Amino acid sequence: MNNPPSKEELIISIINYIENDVISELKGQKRFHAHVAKNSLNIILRQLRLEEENNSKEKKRLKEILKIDGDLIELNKILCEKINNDEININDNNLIDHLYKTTMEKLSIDQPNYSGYLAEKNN
Amino acid sequence: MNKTEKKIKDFLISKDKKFNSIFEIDKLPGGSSNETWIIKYNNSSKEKKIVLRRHFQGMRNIDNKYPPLSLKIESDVMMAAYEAKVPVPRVLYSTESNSDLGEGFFMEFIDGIALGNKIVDESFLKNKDVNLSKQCGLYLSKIHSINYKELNNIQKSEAADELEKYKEVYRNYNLSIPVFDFSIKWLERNIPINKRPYLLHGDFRNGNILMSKTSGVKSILDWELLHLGDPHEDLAWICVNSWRFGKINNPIGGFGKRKDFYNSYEKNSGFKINKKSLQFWEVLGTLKWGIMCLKMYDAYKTGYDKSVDRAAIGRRSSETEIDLLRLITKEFIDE
Repeated sequence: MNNPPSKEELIISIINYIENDVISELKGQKRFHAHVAKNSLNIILRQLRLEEENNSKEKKRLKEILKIDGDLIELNKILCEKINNDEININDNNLIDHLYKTTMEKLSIDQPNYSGYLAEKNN
Repeated sequence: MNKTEKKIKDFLISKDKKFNSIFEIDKLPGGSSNETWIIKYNNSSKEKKIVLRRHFQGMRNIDNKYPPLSLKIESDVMMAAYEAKVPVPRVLYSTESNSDLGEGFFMEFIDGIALGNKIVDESFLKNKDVNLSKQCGLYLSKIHSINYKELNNIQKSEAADELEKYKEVYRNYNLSIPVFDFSIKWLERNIPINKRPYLLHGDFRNGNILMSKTSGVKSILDWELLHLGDPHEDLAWICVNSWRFGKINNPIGGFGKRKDFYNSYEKNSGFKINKKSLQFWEVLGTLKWGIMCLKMYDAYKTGYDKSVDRAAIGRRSSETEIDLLRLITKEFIDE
C-alpha cells in the first residue's frame, strides 16, 4: 500500500494546477490543449470513481441478454455479432433498455454535461 | 519570406501589380489534405486580404482510399454557387496542378464569425429582423438548384453509399460498440428513396457558415465534401446534436427552429421534404460524427498526430450514442 496522497488527490492537484496556473499563461492552440488536458484528467477522475460499478452492471445485463458468461470485451463483441446476424431483434425492449443504460453509464464518465445526456437524464 | 511564400507573391504579382504591396503571408494551422493561406497587402492605403487554398504541398494525395476532392472541382462548384447567388467567396485565380504552386485557387477574404459556440449565444445577433434559419433554408435551396450537368466529375453518393463508407471505417477499427451496430442495422432497414440526385454541399453545418452580428449569413465555406445525392442529407446534417453546441432545443445548428428552416427551404425550392428521410439522414449524420471521432483518435493511436486533443476526442464518440438511441427509439419530434 502506498503512502498518501491517493490517486484521486494527485489528479485533483494536477487539475487545479492546470486551471489556476497554466491556462491563464497560454494563448491559442496551447491554451486549448491545456483545457483538453484538464478535461481528460476529469474523465480519469470520474472513471476511477464509477468504472467498477458501471462495468459490473453492464456485465450483469449482458449475461442476462446473451445467456452466456465472459469478460466485457467478449460479451460486447458477441452482442454486436448477434445484432448484425439478426439473432437479436433491434426492436427488442431488453436490448434497447440495456443500450440506454450502458450509454448513460458511459456518458456519466465521458461527458456528464453533454446536452443529450442531460436531456435523457431529466426525461 | 520562405520559398512557398515567394512563389505565392510571384504568382499574384504576375496577375496584378497591386500585389507588389504584399507584406504578410501566413499559413493557417490544421488541414491535413489541403492548406489555407492568408495573404495581406495594401491597396489605396487600406489593408486587404486574399486567401489561397491548395492541396497539401501542392499535390493531391490520391493514394488515400478516399482522396480529397480536387480543388479544381471545388472552385468550379464555388463559382457556380456564386453565379446562383449563394453567398460564397469569389474565386479570383486558379493555379494548375503543373504550376509552381500546384493545384489550388485564390479567393476573396470575407470577414465574419464561424465559431459555432459564439453563434449559438443568444446575444450574438444584434438585428432582430434577421432569421438565421430562414437564411440557411434559402441559401441551401439555391445550392441544391445548381445545374451540375455543366460541371464535370462530381461524384455521386446516395444513402446506401454513404452508409457503406462509414460502416467500413467502423468495421476496420475492430471495435464492439453495440449502439453503432444497432444504428447501422436500423439504417440498413430504413434506406430512403431519392428520386434524383442534387448537388449537395456535404458539410452544411454551424461552424462552416460565416455569420455577421448584423446581417446573418455572410458566406458558406468548406466545400470539400460536396457531392451529388439526396437533399435530405444537407437538410439533416445541420441538425445533428453535436452541431448544436449545447443548445439542444434549437435544432438548426443550435441557433434556430426546424419550421423556419424547412419552410424557407420548401418555399424557395418547391421541394417537398420527407420526414422519414430527414430521420434517416439525422441518424446517419450522428453516426458519421461518432465514427469521425474514432477516426481522429486513430490519428493519435497510429502516431500521426500525438496531440492531447486527438487522444481525448475518442471519448466524444459516446455523445453520439445517446443521440442515436433517442433519434431511433423516440418519436422524431420537430421543434
